Amino acid sequence: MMWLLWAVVRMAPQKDPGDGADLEVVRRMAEGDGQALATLYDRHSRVTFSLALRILAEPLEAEEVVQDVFAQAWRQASRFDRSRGAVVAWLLMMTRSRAIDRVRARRAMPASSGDPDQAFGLIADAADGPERVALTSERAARLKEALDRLPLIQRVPIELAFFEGMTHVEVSERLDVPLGTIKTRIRLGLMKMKDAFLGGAS
Amino acid sequence: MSDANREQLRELASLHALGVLSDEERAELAKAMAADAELAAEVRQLEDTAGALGGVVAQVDPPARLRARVLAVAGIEAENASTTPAPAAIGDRGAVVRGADTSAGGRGGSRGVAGWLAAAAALVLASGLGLWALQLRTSLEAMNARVERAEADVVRIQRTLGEAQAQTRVLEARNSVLFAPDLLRVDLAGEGPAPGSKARAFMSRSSGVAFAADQLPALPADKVYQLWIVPQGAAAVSAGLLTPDANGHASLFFPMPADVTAPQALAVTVEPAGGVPAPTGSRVLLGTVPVATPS
Repeated sequence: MMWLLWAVVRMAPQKDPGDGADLEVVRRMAEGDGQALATLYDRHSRVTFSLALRILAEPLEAEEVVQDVFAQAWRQASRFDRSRGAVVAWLLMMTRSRAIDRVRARRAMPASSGDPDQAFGLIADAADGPERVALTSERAARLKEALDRLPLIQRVPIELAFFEGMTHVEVSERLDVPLGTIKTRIRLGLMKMKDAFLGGAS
Repeated sequence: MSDANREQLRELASLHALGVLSDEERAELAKAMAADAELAAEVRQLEDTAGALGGVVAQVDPPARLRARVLAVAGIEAENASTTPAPAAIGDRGAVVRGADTSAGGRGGSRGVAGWLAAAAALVLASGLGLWALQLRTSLEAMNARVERAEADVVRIQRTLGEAQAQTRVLEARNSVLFAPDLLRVDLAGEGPAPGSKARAFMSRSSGVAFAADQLPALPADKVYQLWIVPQGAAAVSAGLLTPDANGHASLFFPMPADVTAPQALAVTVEPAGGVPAPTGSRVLLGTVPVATPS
């Protein structure tokens, strides 16, 4: 099963052109350069569409989400704050928020809290710190590997939260596992992924 | 900050990174971060990790028509911007996609649609299987917990049952005294410090002795009532301690001591708490055993 997935889709070797190039593109977008939007789209439409499709499992809806995300990026380019992280991470978090909102609406669950524009990196503003971690293909590969290695009892709660947009309370109810246990498992799993992600060149 | 509190905040940090916190929880975390640089650094790392998580899903090309729709937002014509097809514009990545789609059995012409259809189907299947496996495991855990609880219940029930059976045996034994062929009745009268007390015993050599006393005066905490069997021509043998209730009523059931062959009298004395091997205190009840009449 997994080898087929790997054969079909492979890891995304994206973002190696570097976040610096992305920042330049966003800066040009902020100046109203439509061609810059085309560049941003060409670089990141695949990864955003893939995430939207993963969450929604419905190509037409995924297209709408991607369209909304790039429209939002176009409108808010001037407000992009590089201290909040990589451009692609910004796009991915907007994609997730919008896709999750649709999933929750579809399942008649209350909308996820917070403005998607605010959810990304909101807390990072609370303190000064070192540069954000760049998203390299090597890091992405290590992250994917760490995710695949997680025991299911840690992986599934993480995936339910991130890709299905379930709150920790909903995950706990869905899996019939106490809330405290769910929180602990999410934490343990995410810490392993963080270590893998940052590992080596931190 | 306590360790427990700190651990809770770190859990919140993970949940925040996955984007599932409520506004309230997020505010709590932000407040804690302002006072804790280490926590703040960890939150940032977790955010970056989770942010990248969105990028590690199976990669699928969006349909070409989407590009034109997106660019229309910026007021530029797709024709102007798309002098090259989207996948080619990203160089190496396009090549990977094409290779991948071919290996999935897609044909050149329809690779866009067939590719993501296959990928989407595989994904749904894979995540479904993962979820299914987890649900199996969690229901197994839940079942294990239920079995443990059931086992604990069984132990508890067995203990209760054992106690009930022991009680029943006592009651049965006491009743059996009353139907014993060698039954003797002993009436005890109050004396000394307890003139109003009285008691009655039914005794049988084979079935034991059932004893009940009434109107025993309350005793100080360091004193107890002790019941004695006095054999003919021998020292009194203790039959046990009496614990009167608030109404001065006390009862006792005991087997006839084996070394008592010819009980002559029953007596109750006041003794130091815990009882004594031979009577020392004042006597409050005394009754003589009637001579057995052959029946």
